[in-house]
Amino acid sequence: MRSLAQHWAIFRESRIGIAGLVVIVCFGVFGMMWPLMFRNVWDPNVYHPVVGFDPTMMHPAAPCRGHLLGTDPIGRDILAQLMFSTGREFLLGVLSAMISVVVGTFIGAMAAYYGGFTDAFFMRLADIVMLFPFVPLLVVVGSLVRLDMFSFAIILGFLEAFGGITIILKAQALQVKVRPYIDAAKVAGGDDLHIIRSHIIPNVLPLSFLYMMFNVTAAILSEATLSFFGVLNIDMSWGMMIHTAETAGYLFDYGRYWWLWLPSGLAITLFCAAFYMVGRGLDEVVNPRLRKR
Amino acid sequence: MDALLKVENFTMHYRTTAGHVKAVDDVTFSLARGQSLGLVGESGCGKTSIAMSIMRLLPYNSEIKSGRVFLGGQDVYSMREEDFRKLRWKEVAMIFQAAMNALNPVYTVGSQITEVILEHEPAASERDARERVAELFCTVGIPEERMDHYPHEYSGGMKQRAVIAMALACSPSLIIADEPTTALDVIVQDKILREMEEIRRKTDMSMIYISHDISVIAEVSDVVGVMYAGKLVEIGPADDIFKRPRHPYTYGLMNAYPSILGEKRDLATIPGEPPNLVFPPEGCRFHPRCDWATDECGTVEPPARYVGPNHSVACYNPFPAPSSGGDRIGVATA
Amino acid sequence: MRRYVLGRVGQLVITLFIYIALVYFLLQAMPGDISMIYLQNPRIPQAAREELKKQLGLDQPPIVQFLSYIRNFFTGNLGVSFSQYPRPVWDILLERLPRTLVLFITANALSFYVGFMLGRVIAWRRGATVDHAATVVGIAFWTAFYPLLSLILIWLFAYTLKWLPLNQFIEPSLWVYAPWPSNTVFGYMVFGIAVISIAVFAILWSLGRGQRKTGRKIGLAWALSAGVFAAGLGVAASAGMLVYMWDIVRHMVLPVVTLTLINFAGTMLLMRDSMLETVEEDYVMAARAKGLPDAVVRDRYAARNALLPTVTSLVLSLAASMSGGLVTETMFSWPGLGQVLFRSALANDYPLATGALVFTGIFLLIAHFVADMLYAALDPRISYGGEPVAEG
Repeated sequence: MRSLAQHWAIFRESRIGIAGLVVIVCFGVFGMMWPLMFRNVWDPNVYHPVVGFDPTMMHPAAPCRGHLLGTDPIGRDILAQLMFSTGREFLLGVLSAMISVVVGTFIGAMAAYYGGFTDAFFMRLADIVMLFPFVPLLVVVGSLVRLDMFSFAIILGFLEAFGGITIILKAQALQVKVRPYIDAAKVAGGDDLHIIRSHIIPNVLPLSFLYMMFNVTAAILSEATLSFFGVLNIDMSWGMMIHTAETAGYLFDYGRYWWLWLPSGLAITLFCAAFYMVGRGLDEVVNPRLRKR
Repeated sequence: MDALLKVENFTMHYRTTAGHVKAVDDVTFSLARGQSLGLVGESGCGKTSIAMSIMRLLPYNSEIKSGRVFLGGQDVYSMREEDFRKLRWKEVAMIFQAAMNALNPVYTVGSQITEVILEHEPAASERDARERVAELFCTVGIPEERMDHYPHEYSGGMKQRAVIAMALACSPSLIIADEPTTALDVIVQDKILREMEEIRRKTDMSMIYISHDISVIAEVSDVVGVMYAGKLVEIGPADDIFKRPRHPYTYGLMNAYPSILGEKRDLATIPGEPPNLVFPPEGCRFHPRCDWATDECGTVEPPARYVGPNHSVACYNPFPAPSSGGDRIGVATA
Repeated sequence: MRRYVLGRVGQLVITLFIYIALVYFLLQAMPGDISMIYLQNPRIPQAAREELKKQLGLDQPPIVQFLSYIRNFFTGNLGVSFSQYPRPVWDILLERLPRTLVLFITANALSFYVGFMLGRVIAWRRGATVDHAATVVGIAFWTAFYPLLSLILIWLFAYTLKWLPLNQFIEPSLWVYAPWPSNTVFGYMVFGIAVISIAVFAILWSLGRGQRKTGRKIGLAWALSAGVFAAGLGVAASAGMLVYMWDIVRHMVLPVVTLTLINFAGTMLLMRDSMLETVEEDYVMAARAKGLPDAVVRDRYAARNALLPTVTSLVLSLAASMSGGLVTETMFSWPGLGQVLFRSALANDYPLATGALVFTGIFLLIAHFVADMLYAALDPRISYGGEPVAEG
C-alpha cells in the first residue's frame, strides 16, 4: 500500500482534482465568513437570511451598494443567504456521504469476507435499492412528513449506502480478500473482525474516499432538487432560494430578475462540480490507467 | 542470400518520469528469406521492443535515436504511416506474447481472421476469406466448425493455434513470434513449436522467435541472437552459439536453463540482476555481473567483432573455442 | 440465454412486488393520509364512520388491504383521484404515461448516443485539447442544477431567440379547431415513429451483414431509410396531421435537449475512462498490428469493448435519470407522469401519488430489463450462462 504522501503526490498531478480542491476551499472560506459578517459588519435585522428585511427599498431589489447581489421578493439579502447556506450544504453533503461510505464500506467488506448468504442478501438488496426512483419517492414522502435537513441527510446516506456503493466496494474488497496476507492473518489466528478492520478496510479506503466525493455531489443535488420542489422542512438553502423565486413567480420572468436564481443555481452547480472534480482526481490515484501520461 | 529484414544501428529510448530508458541500444542484425532467428534474453532486455520497432508499433513515449529498419528493401520509418499500415500483416505478421488476450472477446474467432484477409486483399470475397480460414484452421489443427465460436469458448492451446492461424492469414514473408508458447504447458508448447517450424519450412517464410527460454530458441532457430540490457551481445548460427558460446552472458544463460535434450547437469544461475536501463553501467553493460570483467570493461563499450563466420560478439574477453578454454568454463560452473 | 432471460424476469417480478409493497406501506405509515382526515371528520357520526371504514376496507388488517390493492392494480383499478375527482387514477396515468415514455426514451437514447460518440473520440485523442475541453464541459453539465440549466435554455432559445415555444405540450391556439384531440395525434405520431424506426433498423441490419462494406450497399441503405421516412411524412401529411405533429415536436425539443444535456456527460466520461482501459488491451495492439485502419481499431476493438461497462452504468443510472425527468417535466410544464407525481404529492392526492409512484417504478423496471437484455446481446460471454465453456 502506498503512503498518504504518495497518494497526495499522484493527486497533485491531476489538474482537475486540484481545481476542484481550490473551489472547495474557496467555498469553505466563503461559508466561514458568514458568522464574522453577521456579528461584526451586517445589521442582523436587515441581513438575517431567513427573517431579515430591508425597509429602505422596494423588493426584490437589483444588486446595489448595500446588497451586492440584490434582495429576494420578501426583502432578504441574497448574498447573506448564499453565505449562510454554504455551511449547511457542507454539513449535509459531508454527513450523508460519510454515512453512505462508512456503512457501504463495512457492508461491502463483510459481504466480500463472509460470502455466502451475507453476500447474496446484500447484493440483491443493492440491486433492488438501485432500481428505486428516490427523488420521486422522496418528493411524495417529503410532501407528507416535511423532512428537516438532518434527517434528510441521514436517509440519503443510508439509501446510497445500501445501493451501488456496496457492490463497487465489495468488488474491491474481493480483490483484497484473495491476497496471501489475509490467509496469513487467518492462520496467525486473527479473528474475523480484526481482519476486516485492519486488512480489508484499509485497502478499500481509497476507493471509499473516491465515492464519498461523488456522493457529496449526489446529496447536494438531491437536496437542491427537493428544496426546489418545496417538500423539505428547511428554512434556507440554495435550493430554497430558487424555490422562493419560483413560488413568488419571478422565475419565469427570465432575464429580468436574474439575481434571484442565478447566484444560487451557480453555487449549487459549482459546489457539486468541485466535489465531482476532486473525485475524478482521486480516480487517477486509485486507477493507474487513467493517469496523465 | 537476399536479406528480408535489416536492422541497422537501431537505438530506441522510452521517455518515463524516471528518465530515458535506453531500451534498445545500437542493435544491428539481418535476416535472410526463409531463415529463422531466435532472440533470447532476460525479461526487459529489449526483445519485445525490437519486435515492436519492426512492426512500427512503438508506444507514444518511445523515441528512435538512430538507426534504420529495412523490410524487403524498404525503409520502414521513412514510409507514410498509411502505406506501412497496408504492409502490416501482409509482409510482417506477429504472434503476440499473450495470445490469450490477442483475440477480441466480442467477435467470433473466424470473423477476426476474415476481417484481416478482406482488409488486405481487396479482390477477395467473403466466401473466399471463409474458405481460407477453414484451410488455416485445418493447418493449425482446429476443427473447422470452431470458426464461428467466440474466444471464451476456446481453450488456451486452441487460442494459441487460432492466433497462429491469424498470423498465417495473408501469407506474410516474416512472422515475429513473441513468446509464442510461454503461457502453455510444456507438452503443448513443444508440439506447437514443431508445427510452426513445419509450416515455416513448407512456406519458406522467415521467422523471428522471441523468448526468455533458451530451450525454445534452441529447438527452432537457424540463427540466435542474445540480448542483454538493450544490447545485442552475441549473434551467430545456432549450432555455433550452442556449441561454442563466446559471450560470458550467453554462457550463463545456457546454464540457467535445463536442456530438454542434453544430459543432466547442475543448473548455474547468473548472480546479480539486470541493470536499470535509465542509468546503464558504463562500458560493457554486463560487466558488474561478469566474472571475467577487466578494468577496460568498466570504461569503454566493447564493439561487436567477428569471431567466426557470421558470428559476432561484443566482448573484450570472449571465451576462446572450447579446445583451449576448458578451465575458464570450469570456473563459471563452480 | 433462455435461462438468463428467465432469471432476469423472475428478479424483475420480485423487485416489482417489493417496490409496490414499499410504496404502499410507506404511504400508509405517513401521517396526513387523506382518507384518515376524511374519516375523522367530526361531522360524520360514529356509526356512519364505522360503516364508511368498512366500505373503504380500512377495518381489515394492513396486509389484506395491501393484497386487495395488488388485486385491484392488476385489474386496472387504482382508485379515484382526490384532486381531479372523480377521474380514476388509472385513466389519468394512462393519459400521461406515453408523454413521459417518449420524453424519457428519446432523451436517454440521444444522450447515450452522444455520450458514447464523444467519449470514444476524446479517449482516442487523450490529452488533446478536445479531451480537456469535453471533460470540463461534461462535468459542468453533469453536475449542473437541473432547474438552472432548464431556465438558461428557456431563456436562450425560447425567450431571447424565440426559436422554440416556451413550454407546455401544445400551442392551445393552434389546436382550437383541430379535428383530433392532442393525445390522438400524439399516439399516431409515436406509432408512426416506432414503425419507421423498426423499418430503418431492419434495412440497416439486412444490408449491414457481412464484413465487406461497399459504397453501393451503404448508399442503398441510406436511400431506403430516407424513402421510409418520406413515406411516413407523406402519410401524416395526407391525413392532415402533419402540422399538429410538428407542433408537438417543437414543444418536445427543449425538454429533450435539457434531459440530454443533463445525462450525456455521465456516459461520455464513463466511456472515456472505460476506453482508456481497453486501448491498453492486447487485442487493440493486435488489431493495429493486423494493419486495420485506425477507425476500425478504434470502433470495432477499443470502443466496442468499452461499450460493455458503459451500458452497465446506463442500466444503473436509469433510476437517477428519472429524477432529472421529474424536474424537467415541472420546468417545462410537460404534462407527463413526473408532473402528475409532483402535483399530486403537493395536493396530498394520496391515490394518485401512489399510482404515479407505482407506474414510475414499473416503467423503470422495464427500462432496466430492456437495458439488461441489450447488454446480454452485446456481450457474447453472457449469452452462455456467464461461465466460459470448459477447456477443450
